[in-house]
Amino acid sequence: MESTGRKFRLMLAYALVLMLLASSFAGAVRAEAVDWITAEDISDMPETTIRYWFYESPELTALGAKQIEEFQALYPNIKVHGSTAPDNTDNEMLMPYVTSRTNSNIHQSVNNEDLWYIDHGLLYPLSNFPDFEEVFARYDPDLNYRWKDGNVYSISWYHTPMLMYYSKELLNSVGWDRAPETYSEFFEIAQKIKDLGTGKWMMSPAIGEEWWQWEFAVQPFYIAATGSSQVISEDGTKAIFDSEKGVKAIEFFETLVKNDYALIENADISPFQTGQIAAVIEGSWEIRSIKDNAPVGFEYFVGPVPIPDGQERGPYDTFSFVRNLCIIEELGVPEGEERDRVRRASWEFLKFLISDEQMAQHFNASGDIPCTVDLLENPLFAPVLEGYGDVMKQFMELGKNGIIGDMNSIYEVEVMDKMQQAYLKVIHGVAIAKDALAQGVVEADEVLEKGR
Amino acid sequence: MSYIRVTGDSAQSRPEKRKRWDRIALLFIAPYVIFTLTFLIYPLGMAIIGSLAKWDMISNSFVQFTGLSNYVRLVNDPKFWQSVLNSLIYFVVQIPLAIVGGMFVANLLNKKIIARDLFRGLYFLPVITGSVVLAILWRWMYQSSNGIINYLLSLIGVEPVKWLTDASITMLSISLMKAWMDVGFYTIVFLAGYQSISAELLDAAKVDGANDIQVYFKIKLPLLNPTIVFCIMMATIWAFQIFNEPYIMTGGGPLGSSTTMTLLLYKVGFIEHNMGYASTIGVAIGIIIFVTSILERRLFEREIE
Repeated sequence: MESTGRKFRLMLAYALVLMLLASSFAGAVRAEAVDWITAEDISDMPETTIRYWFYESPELTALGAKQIEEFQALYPNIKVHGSTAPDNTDNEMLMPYVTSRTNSNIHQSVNNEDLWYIDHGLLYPLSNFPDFEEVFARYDPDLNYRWKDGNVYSISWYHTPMLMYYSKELLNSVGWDRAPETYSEFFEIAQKIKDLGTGKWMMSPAIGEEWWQWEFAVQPFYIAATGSSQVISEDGTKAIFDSEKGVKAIEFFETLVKNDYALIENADISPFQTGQIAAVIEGSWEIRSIKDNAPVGFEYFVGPVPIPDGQERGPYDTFSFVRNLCIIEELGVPEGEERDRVRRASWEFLKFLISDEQMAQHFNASGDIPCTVDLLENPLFAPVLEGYGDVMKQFMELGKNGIIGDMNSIYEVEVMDKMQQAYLKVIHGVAIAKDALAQGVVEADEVLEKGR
Repeated sequence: MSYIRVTGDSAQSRPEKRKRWDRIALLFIAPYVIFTLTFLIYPLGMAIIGSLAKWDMISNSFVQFTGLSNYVRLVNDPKFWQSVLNSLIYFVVQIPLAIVGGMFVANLLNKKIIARDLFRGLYFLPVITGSVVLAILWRWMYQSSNGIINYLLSLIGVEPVKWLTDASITMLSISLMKAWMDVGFYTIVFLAGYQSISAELLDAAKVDGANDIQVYFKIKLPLLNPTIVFCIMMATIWAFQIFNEPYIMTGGGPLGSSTTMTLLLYKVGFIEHNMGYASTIGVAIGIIIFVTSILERRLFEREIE
């Protein structure tokens, strides 16, 4: 009986020693765990799966699939599940996908939307990666931003300045062969087109309710009139878009509507390409769209955004829309090795997407201009630029003073919504520009006040 | 009085049989119960609790109990009241047009006319065509510069109407389009209603000297009362839930003039990411539908003699 007890105690002692040994071994293994964020070589990283959504046209969908194939040949241990982005995930319906972990790990975002995600801890700081600054230096600083906490959460991918396109036929029919530079020149053409009495208009201003309509269709006029994209004070506490010059930009639309120069329509088919209106404000994608969809023989030229009379052009004279790439955090995965692997794998894929070779292919498929600083000198982009002809070079030259939107507050989207509502009141004749903007500032200040 | 004698054997086996049948019955109703719990009771509970809390979309959890603050906001929110007004315009215009239109067409199709089956199919076609497709088609037709409706009106000298870009008539335009869409559905329902009326009753009325109008208003219409009440109640539920058409045709504009309650709910929940307040709007919609349905039932339901 006594010997059985001794045996039992001996076995217990052995078991304890073994457990101690095992735990210290495990500790040693943990101590040697790889930090995948900073690791130089990731070829021995355990197999990691990331998700990627590609957008929107058949050309880009095909390119996305090809890119995944090429990337996986370079990194066999990183599996990329590619799919076409579901509808509306650009700005509305993304959260359900994020919470259910079915979203794209590498998200195609826009600046002011980034802010909501940053505020909610959803974006991983790209500046945490050791090679980030080297990558970041290749992109135009005017098209990027560093957030107030010192981190960079997204990197510019492609951009397009918003510029005016004019129908050669309609402008020639009223004796004009160049783009108007000022409001009075613009309205002179508009009046002549109206006088033709052929049911044509000068322009069709945006009438959508969405906040981003302001960004694309009104902000370029605001920047051209004020020389700056600032709409909120630098400390992020006050809306300042009702300045004298800001009002002038909205008065431009007021004049358009009041004098019946504008076609107010939610058009499905481009009224510019069908010859209903003489001018449209669009990004570089319009060059590709005209090439693909406009009637044979449709001729056009591009021009700067008009400015108020008696005013010099400022340092910036239009809005440059930038599509960023960022990494959305994997919700529900605890901090640690697995989460870091997904971040690192996403970073490698993101870098692959913004490599010169891939950007050149994307430029060709979409007409979206890469944000690299050496675009005009880089031989990889030269054949694509040639393919688009002189108009693309002219477009890029005219848009060189484009700038991204205001980034002074986390509530950019909410403030932009108030500006869009103010603009719509003018378009629908409910208020004059000055009053509408003054009311918009009051409402925007309430938004900023709530956030403080 | 006679009794059936229950033998000892069958008395013992009966509860067991019943238990077995109960188990089988449970098996049959289980899918429905699971479906109801998952897609009705659970979301309903979440919406009610969510309306009283701050709902964090990132963690999908209620992070703070906020009491009735969302309801206070709702009562003071001009956007909500505008959406209620927009939904009411739709309710007042679309429901009578669609239901009376359906009754009228059904009455015609109940008579012996040429190609009756073809017409029955044609009137039902919009119902089986996707609402998204029809909304896009009507957006084209409603265009003020190129739309076919304004073109036809111009032939009789009518100036172009801004169907979807004039805030004062946008909701009316959407209501008219939706009434056209729904006439087919009510036509089929009323056709079934008309056909269930006994031919003997109608013959008897005629023998008694009643003319067609008297037959319709004194015999057919009273007998259609259950069908009418059913249609009104369904139309009410759908009216306060309308989303696709304003979303596609106008995006809720101009200036919020076609933002219905459900569209507002969507914007608050999925664009502003404020699920707590969106849940409050959802609860309010539920209450409005419930109260309106009860009132309508009291108002329209009649005893059939």
